[in-house]
Amino acid sequence: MAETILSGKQLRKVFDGVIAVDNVSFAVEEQTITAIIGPNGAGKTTLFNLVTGFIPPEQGEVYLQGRNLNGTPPHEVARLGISRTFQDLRLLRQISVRDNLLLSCPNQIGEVFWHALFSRRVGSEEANNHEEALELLDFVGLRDLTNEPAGNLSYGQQKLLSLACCLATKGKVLLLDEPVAGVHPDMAARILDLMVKLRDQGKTIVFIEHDIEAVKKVAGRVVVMDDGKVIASGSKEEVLAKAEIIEAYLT
Amino acid sequence: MDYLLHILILINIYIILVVSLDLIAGYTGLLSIAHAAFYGIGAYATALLSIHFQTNFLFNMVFGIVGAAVLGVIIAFPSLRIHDDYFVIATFGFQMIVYSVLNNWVELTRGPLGIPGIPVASLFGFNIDNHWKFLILSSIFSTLVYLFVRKLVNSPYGRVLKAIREDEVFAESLGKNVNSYKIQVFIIGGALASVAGNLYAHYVTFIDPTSFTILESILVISMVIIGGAGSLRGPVMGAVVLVVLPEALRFVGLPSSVAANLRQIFYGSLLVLMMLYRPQGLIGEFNFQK
Amino acid sequence: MLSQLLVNGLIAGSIYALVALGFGLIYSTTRFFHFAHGAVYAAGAYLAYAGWLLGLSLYVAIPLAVIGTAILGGLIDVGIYRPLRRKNASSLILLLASLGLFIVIQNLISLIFGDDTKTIRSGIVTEGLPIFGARITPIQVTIIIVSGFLLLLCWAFMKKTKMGKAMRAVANDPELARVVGIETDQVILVTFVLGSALAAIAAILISLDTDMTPMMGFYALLMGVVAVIAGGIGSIPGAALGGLLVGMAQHLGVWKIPTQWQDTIVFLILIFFLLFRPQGFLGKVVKKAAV
Repeated sequence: MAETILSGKQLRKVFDGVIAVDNVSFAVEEQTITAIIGPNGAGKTTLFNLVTGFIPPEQGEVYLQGRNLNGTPPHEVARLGISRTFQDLRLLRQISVRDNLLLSCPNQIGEVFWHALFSRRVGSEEANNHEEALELLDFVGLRDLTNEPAGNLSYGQQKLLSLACCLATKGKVLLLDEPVAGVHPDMAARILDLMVKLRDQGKTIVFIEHDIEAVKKVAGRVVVMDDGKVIASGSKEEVLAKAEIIEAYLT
Repeated sequence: MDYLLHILILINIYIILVVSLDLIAGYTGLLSIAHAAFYGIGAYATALLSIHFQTNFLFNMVFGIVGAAVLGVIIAFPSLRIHDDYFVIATFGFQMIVYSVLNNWVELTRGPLGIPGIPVASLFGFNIDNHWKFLILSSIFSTLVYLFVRKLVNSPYGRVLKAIREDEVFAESLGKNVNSYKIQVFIIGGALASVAGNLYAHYVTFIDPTSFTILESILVISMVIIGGAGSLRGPVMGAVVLVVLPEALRFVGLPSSVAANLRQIFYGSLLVLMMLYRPQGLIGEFNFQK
Repeated sequence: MLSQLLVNGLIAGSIYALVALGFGLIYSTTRFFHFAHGAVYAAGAYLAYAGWLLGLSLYVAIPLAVIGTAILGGLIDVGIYRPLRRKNASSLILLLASLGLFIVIQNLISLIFGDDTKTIRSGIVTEGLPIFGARITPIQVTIIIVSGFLLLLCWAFMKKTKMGKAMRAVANDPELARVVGIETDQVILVTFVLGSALAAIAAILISLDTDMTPMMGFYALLMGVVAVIAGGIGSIPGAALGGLLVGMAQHLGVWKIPTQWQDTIVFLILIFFLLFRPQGFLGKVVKKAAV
């Protein structure tokens, strides 16, 4: 019953002679939460970059619902349904929370040159998107900060915002790079909670984290990477039980 | 009085130049010192066409726009791969190439001799042959261009441009085709600058390559920066300040070459001062800080 | 014919190599394009001219001009760039400030000395010694020799002296250099002083061959930028190679292409390198938008 929605086959990426991702294959089922863990420099973020088209692999393929994503530029990958957040928390800090969300809405005719100038539909499209943005802000709990410049938000709030932007793109697969790292425990709990709700609503989530507790709380499957390779993958219980994984991870 | 009209006409032409460059540099964050190349293409297109084929200035404007659009695509390409100061150097190179084509392709452009005797613009049989009429014509165009760019930058399209300026990786991850937008703004901005060139040619009726050098590009980007990149009124103010204040030097009775030097020293110093104390210019939004 | 073009290319290349060297050293330690270098270059020649006008012999005027220009370069760093660095200004802001400075200095030169060509050549125009079928004047030989000598001297300086090593450290990794205790501001100042002195020497040398105009700085800058990008930023052999490449391309190009397109070739080289090999022949890879 569970369909594979996202998979990678024998992906390999080399930077300046260093093998960042080494023959990595994975399969993610729809409506699941998968965690990728591993020490710094294991290649986790590079894997995200490969999947989302920001860097081309030397070898290997990525498939989204059976469709080969090789050579697809990042904006197209986003349109096809994969949304992501970034380790260094990318946001537009000069503009308001709401404007960040409006930007994230997909398929806006107002973003097309000709229509921006001459179409009457832009106004109503903006109004609709505005409504949806407010709903999303309610969902993540940032409604009262709607008009604040994003730069004024706390770190944790900015993480919530970037999650909201991800959702605004209406992607089916969310790749979250360290969604709770460096965040106050209450806020972390909130974010993890949202992740579970999103899965129940039909999203597929893959997230990178260092916090084992967070992984234990929400992940269904766990993939462990080290030195560019996948050294273990399976259900959370199986993987976390393996003593050597925890050792390698903690050292 | 005629002198006052001349200043106002110049201001109108520069308004078109700064607003179109602001779209590229201020809103999208692609600093370019190649704008005079687009300006020159518009001027030369109309000069050559109207002299050899007696065509109307509006008809020629289309050709200028097409030529500028082609150049815009070419110049936009490096921006897809190289960024910030390296990209500025590339635009520098392109500006110099276009200038040297205008200066050296003597068979087409008469090189340094320039093109004299450009006919006045005419509209429905009505000749724009004095300063009052040209002031009206140039004001119409500058207003149209200003409103056009303003509508664009205040729309969702403009929102994407500003996003590209602040964080193009983020913009791309949200599904925006950053490369396409970069090419588009160069086409649009370049096309508008060529419109300014067209008007300029029919105003001064004699053009030569010296009006379209790297120094002219630097002057226009200075106007944008000093006035305030990323706002629309800022560059317009910059244009007014940098056209009017140095002209005041003429009244002091200085020989014109001295006045020319002083004028450049003036905006060169302003540029340095702005960078030191107020990079976002008088009323701008973008401060070139990444 | 070909040998004359080669000789001319070598002469031009020597000058560009010196300009590129100064410019490249400054870029590698400060990470921005110091456009004003072109104006500093011109100032060097004009200071020598001023000295000569005041009755000094060239043997006195020239060293004074080089020192004066070195001081000018230092003042620019301390007065404008250092405050900007304090504010963490981006390389774009520094480039823009540099553009402004360039315009100011060039126009000051134009204002004080006028736009016409000035000369410090005092001797009779000689025909030039024959060499391999080409002709080369004593001054031109001097240019090549002095240039080569200075390039070697700089290379030795960078490799062997404490300051030279400090400069390389700052060029490689400014943060690390600071952590190790190197006074980056001082090192950068030295770089500006040295780079400006090199520019002045280049300007004076070329003026002894072909006189000076206020626009000379602009032209030299262009060639310097292309040379640095083609040859590789931060690399001394790269600057030399780049300078030579530009000089050669310019003059050999005349063989097949009409003279007036000489410079266009150079700019096409620039664009080519920027697009396909921004690290030049010998330099390191430059920044791109990181993910």
